[in-house]
Amino acid sequence: MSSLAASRWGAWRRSVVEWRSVIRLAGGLWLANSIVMPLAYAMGRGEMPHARAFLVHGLANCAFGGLLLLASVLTPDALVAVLGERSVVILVAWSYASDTLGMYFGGPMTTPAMLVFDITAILAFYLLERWVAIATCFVGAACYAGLLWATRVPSPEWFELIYLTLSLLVTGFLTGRLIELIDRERKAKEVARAELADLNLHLESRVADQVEEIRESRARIVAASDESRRRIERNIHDGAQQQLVAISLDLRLLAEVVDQLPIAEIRAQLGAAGGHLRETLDDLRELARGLHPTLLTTDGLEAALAQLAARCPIPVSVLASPARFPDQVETAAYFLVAEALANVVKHAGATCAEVVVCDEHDILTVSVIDDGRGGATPSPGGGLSGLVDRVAATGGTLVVTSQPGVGTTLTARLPLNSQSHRSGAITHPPAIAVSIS
Amino acid sequence: MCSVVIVDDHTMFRARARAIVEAAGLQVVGEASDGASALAQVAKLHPDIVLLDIQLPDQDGFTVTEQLAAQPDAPVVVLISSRDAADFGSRLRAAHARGFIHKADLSSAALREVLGAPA
Repeated sequence: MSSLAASRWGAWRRSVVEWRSVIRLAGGLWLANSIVMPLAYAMGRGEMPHARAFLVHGLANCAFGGLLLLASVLTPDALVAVLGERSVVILVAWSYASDTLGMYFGGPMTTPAMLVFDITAILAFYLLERWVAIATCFVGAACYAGLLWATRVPSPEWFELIYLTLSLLVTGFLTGRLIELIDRERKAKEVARAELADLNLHLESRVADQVEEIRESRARIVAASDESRRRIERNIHDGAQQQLVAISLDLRLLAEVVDQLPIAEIRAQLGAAGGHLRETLDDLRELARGLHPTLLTTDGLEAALAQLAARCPIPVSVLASPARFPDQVETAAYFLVAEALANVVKHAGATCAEVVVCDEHDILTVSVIDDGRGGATPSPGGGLSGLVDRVAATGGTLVVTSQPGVGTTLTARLPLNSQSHRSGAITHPPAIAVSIS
Repeated sequence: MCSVVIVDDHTMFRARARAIVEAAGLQVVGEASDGASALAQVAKLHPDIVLLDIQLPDQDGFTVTEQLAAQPDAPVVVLISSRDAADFGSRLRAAHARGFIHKADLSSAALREVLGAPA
């Protein structure tokens, strides 16, 4: 992408340089015109019959040519932008205007032949046929050369004729070059337009893909949330509720036979019921911790992860910063580690695991590394897919490297800056890479 | 003496229910942990009463109730659950059962009350 941009920039620079050189040549031509024309007349005729006209014509051309040269040196980009495709019309129009100005002050310059050149040049511009323009100028130059040839001997008109011949040759070259540049620019614009349309199409399809991905991810998040609610209901029903039913029945049974039992037996049964109630309370507390760990809210990520590691059936070392982070990020990081460790225990067959959390440049990096069998693959609705959605919801990225026999490393990068993660969620959709090597 | 079959998938609950049913002066002749084995036990033992949990692992207690009711000399069915009666709505009202007892409320008094009521 960047090399394409660089080549476009280079092409544009080259085009500016070419435009600038052509415009400089035009400016130089007019400057020369303002000096040589009167000089040619003076040398040829030995007198200045139309002195005022030459003066006005010369000064005007001098000013215009000087302005072009100055602008091409000082602000070449702006000059190219202003002249652009209009340059031939402007240059020809100026030529016509300066000639007319000269005529107004009594000069003989604007002849029917000159008008024909001007009109043909404009026509050539609209047709974008540089050969018509070049041919027109060259035919004019040939006519003057013919006149030069016809006079044979040096005459007072020679200087004028030589100048007119050369001037038309240069004008021919100039016009042809301008039209070529305009033509090329138009073609380049068409190519750019086509490329832009292609790019647009590509972007549209990418956006559509991303919208689809987000829609699927949302559906998975909703399904996971429903499933988790069902699981909690089942846990409560099969766990605490059954235990409470059993305690209730024990007490009812005790009430039915209480007058036939010795006091020691009654005490023992009541003590057992109290013990069962305490166990049920512990179960409920564990369940509540699974919903949202209190320690995470009060003491932060490091303490909550240490507690999580302590309850894990395999040894887990935690290396984390004691700093506090935004609630959403702490919760995402905690449950990411909780789910990852649950996966490690359930599937990896690992002997130990390591949790590393560090924050750098507004990014919280969370890694869970195990020494298990590796080869983890994401499957729809599987543990990895749940982790992917959880990370995507924060605008972060998740990379899972799982080499068979080496273990699995899971690294999530969660944006800490809510501003960047808001824009990240929209303009830079989460990149989820799962590399299995 | 009336014979009873207890149907529930939790062993812990069945043991306690047996003690309560026996304390109420009834005889527990069999236990089952799902719908299919409940139907088999009833066909074999012909109990007078079936204490039937609504949430069973293979089918729900209502379906088992209908199948029991369709049999000749059908037993009296008492539905039990750890959920509230209101959770089952119209299905519980339409069931061919003598009554419903919340598991936590199971006692000889509750059993007597349900069984004593007209069908």
